Amino acid sequence: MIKISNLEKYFTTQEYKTIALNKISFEVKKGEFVSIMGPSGSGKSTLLNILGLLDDADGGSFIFNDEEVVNYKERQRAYIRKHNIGFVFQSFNLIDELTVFENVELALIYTGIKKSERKGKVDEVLERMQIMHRRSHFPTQLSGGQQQRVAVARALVNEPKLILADEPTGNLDSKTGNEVMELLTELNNQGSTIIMVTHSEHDAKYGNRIIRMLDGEKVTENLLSNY
Amino acid sequence: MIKNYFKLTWRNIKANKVLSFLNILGLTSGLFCFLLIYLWISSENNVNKYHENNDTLYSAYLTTTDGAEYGYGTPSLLYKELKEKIPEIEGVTAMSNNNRNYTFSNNKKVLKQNGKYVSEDYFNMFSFNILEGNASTALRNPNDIAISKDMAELFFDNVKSAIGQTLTFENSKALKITMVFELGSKNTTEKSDFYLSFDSLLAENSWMSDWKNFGTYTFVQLTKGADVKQVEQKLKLFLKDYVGAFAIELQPYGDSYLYADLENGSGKIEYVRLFGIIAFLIMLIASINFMNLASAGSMKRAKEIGVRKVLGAGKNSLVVQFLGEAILLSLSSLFFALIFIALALPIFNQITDKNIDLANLPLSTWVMVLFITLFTGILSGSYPAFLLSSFKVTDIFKKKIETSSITKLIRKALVVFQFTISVVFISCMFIISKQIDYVQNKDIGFERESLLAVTLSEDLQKNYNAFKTGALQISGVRSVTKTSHILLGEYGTSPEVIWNGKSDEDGSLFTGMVGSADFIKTYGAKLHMGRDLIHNNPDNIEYLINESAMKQMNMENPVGQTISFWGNSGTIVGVVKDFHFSSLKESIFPLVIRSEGYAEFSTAFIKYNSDNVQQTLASLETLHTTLNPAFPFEYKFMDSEYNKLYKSESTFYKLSTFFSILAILISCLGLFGLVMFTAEQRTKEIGMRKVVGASVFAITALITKDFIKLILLGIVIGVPIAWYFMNKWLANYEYRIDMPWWAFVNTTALIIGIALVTVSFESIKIALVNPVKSLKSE
Ligand SMILES: Nc1ncnc2c1ncn2[C@@H]1O[C@H](COP(=O)(O)OP(=O)(O)O)[C@@H](O)[C@H]1O
Ligand SMILES: [Mg+2]
Repeated sequence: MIKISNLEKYFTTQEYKTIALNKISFEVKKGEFVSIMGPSGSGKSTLLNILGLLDDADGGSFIFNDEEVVNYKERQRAYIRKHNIGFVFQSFNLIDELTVFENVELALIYTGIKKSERKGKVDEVLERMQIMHRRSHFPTQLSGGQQQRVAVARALVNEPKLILADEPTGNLDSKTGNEVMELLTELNNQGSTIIMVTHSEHDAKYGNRIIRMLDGEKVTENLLSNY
Repeated sequence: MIKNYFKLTWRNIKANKVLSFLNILGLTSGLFCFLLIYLWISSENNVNKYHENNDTLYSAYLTTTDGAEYGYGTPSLLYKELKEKIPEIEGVTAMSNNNRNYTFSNNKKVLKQNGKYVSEDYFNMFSFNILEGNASTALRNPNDIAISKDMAELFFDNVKSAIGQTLTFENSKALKITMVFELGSKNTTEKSDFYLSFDSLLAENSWMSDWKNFGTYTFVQLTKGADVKQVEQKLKLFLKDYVGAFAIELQPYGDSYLYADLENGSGKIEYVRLFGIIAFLIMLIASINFMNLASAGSMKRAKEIGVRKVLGAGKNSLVVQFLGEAILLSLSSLFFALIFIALALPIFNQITDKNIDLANLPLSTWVMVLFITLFTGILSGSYPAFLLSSFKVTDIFKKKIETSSITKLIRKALVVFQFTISVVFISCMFIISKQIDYVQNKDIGFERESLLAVTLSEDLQKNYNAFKTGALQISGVRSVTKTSHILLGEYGTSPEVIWNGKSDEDGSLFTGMVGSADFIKTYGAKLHMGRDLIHNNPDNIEYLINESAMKQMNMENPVGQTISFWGNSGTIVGVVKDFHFSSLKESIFPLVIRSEGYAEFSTAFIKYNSDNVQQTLASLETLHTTLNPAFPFEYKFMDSEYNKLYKSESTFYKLSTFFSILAILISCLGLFGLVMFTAEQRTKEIGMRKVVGASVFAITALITKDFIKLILLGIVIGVPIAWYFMNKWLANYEYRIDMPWWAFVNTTALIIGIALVTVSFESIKIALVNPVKSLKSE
């Protein structure tokens, strides 16, 4: 499903150039659950943003669903994004002015689905995330775990083939963290491909493969028992 | 402490460069308009008020005792009678009604100068800067003349040597210079080059001594402490013994300029009020900007405020700080505004026919200007100041300071209000321009293009036939006629037209004029029936009447009928289709044109071919010099004279266009700032929307939509207001355009267009930002 080779990314600030990704290569197959680990600043988020087509690479190749997308324009990237990819962030990134329902619905609005149909889909996914009873609340009225479940619901609602999660449990206590991890595993079992960045060895083991990064490079890759 | 505030203020201005720039620019533009209008208004308010005796000077005017008609015209002998009979009157002067051009000559030069006749007390009552001579005795003898410094320098080496010299007047009599005066840069309507003795005018025109003739202005000066009410009481009945049903009233002389429309108690004051409102509204728009930008920007400073509060800053000290910032910004705006005003004044003075000079302003004006600026600063600064200082520290650190819904509502309401004003301004501008365009291009029933009015001085009146024959030989000249009036402006009316079958009670009024052969041909007017005037023969008087007169006289076929006007009977030879001989504010009056009568034809009219005008003019001048060597050749183009009738309208239009454009610009500055602020506040949301696939267009539309809604609301409110006012304004015109609906469509399109550009400029910028960055900004 995803194949990157020699992917590069630089950030140039006034004084110096940071190499965030240094010719990194790997492959992710359909249906995999990959955990990415590494110390802070090693380029994990940068990588995830490129995989999610939020950012563009400075070199190398990125094949997504058999298409070379590395040189895609913003419009083409937005198209792939809204039809194929769901995001879960550490800081949830829910919009405070919108209700739970509206936050989840947002992911459908830009795909041009009719309103009645949207309602069915959103309600279904809220049901599945067990936060239906909170559908008209605002994010500030929810606990962290509930907020992350809304964020996951938003990532899921348009049935993406790929879910990208950047430290999804980073802001949660371990109990709620585990719940979210269960949720992701379940989604993986139902067929979604998941790439997750995490600091926690514990969480990483929910996946079936761990990629370890250091200074923008892949250092090891080990399969887990549940592969 | 204060130094600390200053430092912080300065840093704040620097830290929020764009916001500060928008703030200062908006306030500068607002102050610029406001002060310019303020200067104009205070200049208008002070016209003719510089006289030392200002408090005791009055213009006399007449009303019919039934209150139906008003006018400044009074009997010419009134001034003598008043002085004798009313003890409270210290001085009184008569003044020939309007300035006229007369020809003066000495051995050096022949020149036309512009001036009038006044009686003896004039220079004692009104203040002039007298360079030579004596105010009390200057016009004592019939052949005395007082001249301006400029005129003295035209004819003589210097002012001193002019006194006692003689000038030849209209190539006929010698006048002795008894006084040289100067007006300097006085705020005055008196623009005379010279003053002649009114008594000499009376002596030469016996008809003026008729009490029934109201052609002279009379001004009085009351004794100090005299009760105006009492004097007015006496004056009410004063004319009873002389002319009957008329009362004399007094108007403070200083008010005559602004309140010349005696009947309605208004006049130019209408424009003063209107511009006052415009100035106020523009200042309001600018202040709103200031408030909105400052309160929006304040969110950014929440953390600073939090820290200050934790460190013990009281609410008051914060209020002082923010007010101080507002005042500092408004003072710098004042500084910039004054620079722009200094640059703009020459053009402004030219457009408005004023003489405003920043260097000559009285201290009181400066105090007022400073006061208004500080007031604006404090007013617009206090809203954000109180808003900011009322934040709760705990909320700030919890990042909980939501903009309250009331604040949001106020902000929206202010934007709506700004755009409502802009809509009113802009649509009025479209409509006024359309009406001005309409009156300037309307078919008024005669052809004012390629028509020249030539003044007929002394000799030319006698030699008119030779002049006409000579002129017609010039290849560019098509036809020539002469009349008593210039066919533009105001005319007297008279009931003294008599026709067959007129009933005794019929008091209908007519405008009378004297015309001559080729009247219709030269004016390009249209005949309804009959023919043009042919004869200029006192024994065979011909009459032309217009359609309105025909209706008034109730005649089926007037051609061939006998009528008489002012006692001269003659035959109606033709009926001319109604044409406009006054401003389009008046309806067309019944008109009779008599072929001959009294000798005083003031003006010849020449229709010429539009090519080679310069050559035609040169030939005419040569002809004029041969026939009338003692007088300079003086002419006017009728089309530009016509446009002068609407001078105050077109000045008003020019200024209001300028102010409308500034109003919308200021509103857009504010809008721009608000969009910027909103976009900043919604960064995260916008980022998230992009993550889930929103296109740049979708994001731009999202931000734009909210603002366009407000602007549409402004339009919905503004259009009926503009409609109402313009309907009222148009009603002043007897001939006017229908309310042009397209003006509102244009306004809507224009304002939405401008707003859209303003809003989308910033929103596109935000929409283009990489969502990774937006989400990181937490
Ligand atoms: N927008 C940016 N501008 C400059 N440098 C950046 C930017 N984003 C990331 N970096 C740099 O790139 C490197 C990798 O960052 P990141 O991918 O966020 O690491 P991680 O997520 O593994 O902690 C870091 O050195 C970081 O400072
Ligand atoms: Mg990271």
